[in-house]
Amino acid sequence: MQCIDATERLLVEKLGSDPELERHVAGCARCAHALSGLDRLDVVLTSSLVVAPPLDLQRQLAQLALEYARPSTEPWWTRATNALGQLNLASWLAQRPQMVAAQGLASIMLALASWQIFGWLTTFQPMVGDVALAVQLVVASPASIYLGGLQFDLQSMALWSVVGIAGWLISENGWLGRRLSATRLRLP
Amino acid sequence: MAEPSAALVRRAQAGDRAALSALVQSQQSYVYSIAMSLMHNPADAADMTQDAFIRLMRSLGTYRAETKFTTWLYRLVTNICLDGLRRRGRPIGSLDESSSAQAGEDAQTAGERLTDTDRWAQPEQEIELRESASEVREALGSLPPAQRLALTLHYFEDLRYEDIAEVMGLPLNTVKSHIRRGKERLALMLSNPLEEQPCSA
Repeated sequence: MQCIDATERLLVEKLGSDPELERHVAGCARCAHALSGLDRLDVVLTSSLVVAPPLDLQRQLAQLALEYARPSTEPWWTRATNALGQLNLASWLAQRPQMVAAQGLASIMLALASWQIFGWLTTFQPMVGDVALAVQLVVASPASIYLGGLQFDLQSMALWSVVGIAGWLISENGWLGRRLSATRLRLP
Repeated sequence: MAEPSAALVRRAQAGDRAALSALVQSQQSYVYSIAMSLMHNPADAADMTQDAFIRLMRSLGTYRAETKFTTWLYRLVTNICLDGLRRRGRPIGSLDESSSAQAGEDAQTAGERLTDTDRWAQPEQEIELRESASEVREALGSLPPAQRLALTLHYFEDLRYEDIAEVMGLPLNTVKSHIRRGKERLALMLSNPLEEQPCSA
């Protein structure tokens, strides 16, 4: 093989694809030198020719993908089951010990509160099928007594409703909040 | 990996949001690079990329997996860019024509040119390329669009010469010739001028 043929083939072929070419380059300093130059050229051209689009365009394309997506035809329980199947809860929790501790503490507090409110239930034996007795038990429970003793004031209910609605309006998802976050405030 | 999995394409065809997003994300750089190689202008390339993805979303249902997805997509982008150039009054005819126009100019073969310049004759001297972005851009700008496109596709992951030929709608040998000539011209243009001077010793 002549150097001229070897150089020409090196322009379009990988070295490993042709044993004859490989042998020639191994024994020819000139062609080995040409190969190193062409390898360098490959590196320069790869970074110059294969380029990422600007961020604005990337955002527009992501939006485009969302616009053309169709709502899923799978029922919500199938999607929820699939999502749970993909979730590896044990490893997720193992990486978050503080989360496990907080959840444990919250469970203990809930159990204590439940015992305080409904602790009287332990004094009764459950009677399956006796609806009247069940209703009596619920009515006689400390929780029902507490709720029954509350004074419902229509005025304060209306006031707190207005406060709640106003809070929602200025929240991130609220009508006013969305407009506020879209407006760029400029300092004088 | 440039080629998306068949399962991902099927889910995207069914309108799955995550699959469509993944498909766009995995292909946007390649599509934009093709557009840049043909339009050679970032604003025009962005327009063509957006057009290409809109067309992709509309015609994704017609893709039948008889060819590689990437080949099908890159051909779509190439056609959109050729149309775009025609609309902008800068038609380049067919990609084949630009190669035959170059044929007369490139009478010598690539190998002859490279060896004639004695560029590689001093193995002890390290090869230096002028690699600044502006110099590379300028050198690429001087290539005919067909050579630029062939070279761009050549540097994509997993795209063989046969795939490039299919994307460009050209015979395999013409594609190889485009790549050879393109590389040769760039090597000549980007190599350090100092190297071309004969060694005084």
